[in-house]
Amino acid sequence: MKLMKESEQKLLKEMEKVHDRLPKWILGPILAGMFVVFAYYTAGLFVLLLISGIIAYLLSSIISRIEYYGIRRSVAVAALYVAAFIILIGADILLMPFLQQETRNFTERLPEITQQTEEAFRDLRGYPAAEEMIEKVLEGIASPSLLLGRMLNVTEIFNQAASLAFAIVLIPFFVFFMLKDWPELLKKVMNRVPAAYVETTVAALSEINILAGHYLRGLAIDCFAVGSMVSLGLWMLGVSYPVTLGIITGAANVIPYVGPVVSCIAACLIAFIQFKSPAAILNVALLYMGVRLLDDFLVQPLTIGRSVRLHPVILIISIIAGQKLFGILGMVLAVPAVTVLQKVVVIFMEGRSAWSGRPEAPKHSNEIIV
Amino acid sequence: MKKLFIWALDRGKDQRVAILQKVGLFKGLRSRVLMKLLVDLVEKEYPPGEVIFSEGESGKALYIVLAGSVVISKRQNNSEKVLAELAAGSYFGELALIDHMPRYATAVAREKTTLLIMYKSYFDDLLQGNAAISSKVLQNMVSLLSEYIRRKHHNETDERI
Repeated sequence: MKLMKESEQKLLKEMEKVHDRLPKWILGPILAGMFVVFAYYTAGLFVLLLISGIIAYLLSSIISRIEYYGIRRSVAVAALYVAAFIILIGADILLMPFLQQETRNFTERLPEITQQTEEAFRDLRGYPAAEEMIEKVLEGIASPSLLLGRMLNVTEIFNQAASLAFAIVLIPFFVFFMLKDWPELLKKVMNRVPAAYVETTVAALSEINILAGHYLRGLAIDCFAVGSMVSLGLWMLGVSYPVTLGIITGAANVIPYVGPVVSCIAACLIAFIQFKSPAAILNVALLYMGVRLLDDFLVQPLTIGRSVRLHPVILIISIIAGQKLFGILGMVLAVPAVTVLQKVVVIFMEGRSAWSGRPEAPKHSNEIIV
Repeated sequence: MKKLFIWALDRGKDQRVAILQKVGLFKGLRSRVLMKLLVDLVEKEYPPGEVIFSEGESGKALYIVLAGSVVISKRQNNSEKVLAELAAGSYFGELALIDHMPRYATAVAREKTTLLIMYKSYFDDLLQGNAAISSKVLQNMVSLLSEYIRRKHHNETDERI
């Protein structure tokens, strides 16, 4: 027993020696490395935390507005949750019959839609390049057993349902505590920031807040405008589901370049299936190009404005990197994340040059104006 | 209902708003605007003796003393001359919000001090967002600056006499 204690003490002393020998700066990279490894192996949880963080950020402005009236933050967060619960139940009661009706309609029309799609693709057979692709598509449509088999993969469905349930429970849980404890957490972090870095940290926080606020507000208006223009245009062209396609286009608009192209392809496909002529594709593509031009030169300068200034090459690279890392969410977040990163780097560079420069104080005044 | 509303109120913030009401720069602003500043701005605690910023450093933030006290000093002939001691309700570093000049003096926390920090970009955004706030704050700033100039003029005249 005594022997054990002695060896333990020896080990402890050795560890202390190692600790003393290690330079202090090494702790930062080690912690960062551990964080990266942890994030890599728990990517699912990391994405959940990221989504929760975004929702908490979006809701925090509502909480702040309630706080401006002198209400305690915890009460404001609880009130918001109660209100959200009531709204969700209300929406469920009001919207459920409509959604059920839409789903029933779609299921009833499914054989008809399949037939229409087949016919539309068969008309394209004359084009040699499209031949092989069409074969594959028709194979997929013609073999419902294969499709059904894929859809009814029980373990897959169970896994999906479990992770969805996990997300539905965990996200509101994370959001609640992020909203409630953010100011306290920020205070604790700020108290540990060395005085020399305080202004740069506050600058970064302030700029991020202003930038993210402008970007998100602008983006919401921009998506609404684009969605409405597309809906109106498709309705005028007589394409079916103009409102649904408008909503999809508006939502896809949050991903620069990629989103508009994907939603344009979807609308072209639907128009092609409906009218069975390549002219319909041309019409829809022209409509999307018109809306894009209007958006780029009229709507975006008025909404998002100069809050995001990224070179198109950096923009595309960041979107691809975002997709590789976090999928669709990564694509959506790539632009604001890289913009914020760029701003923070600029602020820290400015801070560093200011500290190294240390200009002389002016000699003309003698008052307590500091 | 009234009892419930009172229960939901944050008493700590009310006391802090009372401190902000003493700040000359925010004279005439409604308590809701002051509450907004309290909610939005970053707060930091400084231990006694910690240097908040040093003379000659570049700075873009205004500091408001919420608790504790701060000593403002300036280097003169190889010694530090104390210019002022600021208590709760005072503020310093306001010129950083207007120009890009380096800090004129050094600020040190005298005791355990809590400061509210307003960065230039927040100040600019606040002024741009609301004309009423903007005109009041700028008016306060101009009158404070004119008071400084008048005081300096008086001191110089006294010295000459």
